Amino acid sequence: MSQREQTNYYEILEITPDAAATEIHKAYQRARQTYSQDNPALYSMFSPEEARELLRLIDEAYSVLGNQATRKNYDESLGNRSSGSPGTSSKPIQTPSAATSTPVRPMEVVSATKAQSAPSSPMGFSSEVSDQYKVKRSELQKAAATPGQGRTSLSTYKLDDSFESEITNASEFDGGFLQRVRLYKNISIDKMSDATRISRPYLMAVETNDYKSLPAAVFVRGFVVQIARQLGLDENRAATSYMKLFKAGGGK
Amino acid sequence: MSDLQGYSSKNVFRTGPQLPNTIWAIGGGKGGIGKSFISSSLAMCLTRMGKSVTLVDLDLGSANLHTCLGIKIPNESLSDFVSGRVDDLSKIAVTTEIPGLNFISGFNDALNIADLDMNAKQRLITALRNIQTPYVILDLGAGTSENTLDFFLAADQKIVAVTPEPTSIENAYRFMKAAFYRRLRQAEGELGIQSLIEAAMDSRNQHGIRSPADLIRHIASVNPEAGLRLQTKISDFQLQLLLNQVRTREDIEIGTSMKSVCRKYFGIESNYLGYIDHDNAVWQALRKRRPLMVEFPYSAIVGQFLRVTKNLINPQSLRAVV
Repeated sequence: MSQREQTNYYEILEITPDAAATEIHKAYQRARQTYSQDNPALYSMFSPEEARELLRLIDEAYSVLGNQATRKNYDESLGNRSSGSPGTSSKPIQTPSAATSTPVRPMEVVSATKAQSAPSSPMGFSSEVSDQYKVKRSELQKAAATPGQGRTSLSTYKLDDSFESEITNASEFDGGFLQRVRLYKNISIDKMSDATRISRPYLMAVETNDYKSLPAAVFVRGFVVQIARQLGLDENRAATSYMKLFKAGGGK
Repeated sequence: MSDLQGYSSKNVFRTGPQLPNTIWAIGGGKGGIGKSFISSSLAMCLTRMGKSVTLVDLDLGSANLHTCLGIKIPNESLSDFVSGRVDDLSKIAVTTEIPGLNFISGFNDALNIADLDMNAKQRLITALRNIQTPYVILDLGAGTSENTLDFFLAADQKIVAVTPEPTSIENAYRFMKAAFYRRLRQAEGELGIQSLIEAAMDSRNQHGIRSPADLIRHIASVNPEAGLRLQTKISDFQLQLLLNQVRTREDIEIGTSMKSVCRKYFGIESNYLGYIDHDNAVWQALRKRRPLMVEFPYSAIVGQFLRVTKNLINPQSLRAVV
């Protein structure tokens, strides 16, 4: 097994395990800035590919630590592991660049249903799941040409005139509505996460209107814009409507 | 001309029993990034705080620290010590008009840092350790020669000066890597783990070793005891990053980014000491051959140097700042 970057999410974000939520958020922003392509401080130390992989890992770390529920699960998994092997206080993970064997990924700990899935891709999705998303271009073209079927960049789906009308006339875009549109358009949450680079926990929080688990408003607005774009909705209307509900619902 | 050209007769060396001193070394790989300016300014900040300092110009071959201090070229220099004509560094140290500041010149066209053999270097390092001022500051030259690296590694505070330009950053990293591998080589000799490191490096692709941090992790996995001893041995390789000639807010963040990059690459903590603004006062003072601290004692840049000096003296406050 490669030794490269075996570390835990706290170490990736360079924070201590007792860091407050605000510290995590600041550390995430700092890390994003540090490993952005145009930062001269990377020059000659990390190649663009390595920097990209580090960025992905940083996003992954934040998707877990930035959410109270997933962080709690992760902390528990760290605690279990450290109690099982004296001398190690944290569970090692492996960077994408070194994914030559079967790493234990934190996302697997978070989601029990994925715990058995085998070698993960850099973003923590199993290769099987990734393959499942691959739709052949010819099939898509064929589907688009079929009457009664709609198409997004991620899927094809059966057109429903009444629901299409509801979408067109919608004035309130809450999480439940976004979820209904996603399911109607036959886009799985994993697929949406893959396309938008928004973690599953955040997508689920958006769709369940769990405003407390979401980050600051500026990020949530970005999430909704991304989701609406994939769903073929009016981004501005969707974001404006959702943010009104977000603020009224006690979002940060 | 400058009122600093003459030397005072005030002796700042301690008398009485031998006490340990603290050595700060300023390196950075690239020339022209302000190492001599930083060295002289840090020394003067220490004297302002009431500490006695000996400033040593180790930029052998192109020594010009005396110009930053605004003094004439001393008659005696390190070459007198290296050649054996003088047996004690205190005999070639000159006192300056700045109270508490001694200066040892490296100015001698005949002597280059590369010319120092192992014995002369070791003798010089021992003599530097025995200098009887609480602080000794070494102004190192550009480049990554073994002798430059050895003086850098011998210091208690290893300060890497860097400017926000890509060329400077690249050279600073090169300098850090060279210093790290030099320290690793010293450690492997002391610990007797050469074969372990050589084997790891021979098959580094196979083991995914791409950075010093990977190498140490690999050694720890192959031989946990050796890995622990190695980590302990190289734990003193803690770099202090000092960003010079900062112009923008984005420039300031480069120090924070470099600290993170060092952590991920070397697997070792470094400290971002702080930054020094790009300031026209610097070249104005240099052109007059007067130290900045004397010419513009109340400028903002002097305040930045004082803050950096405080951070170096007191690591507790360093943690609070960074």
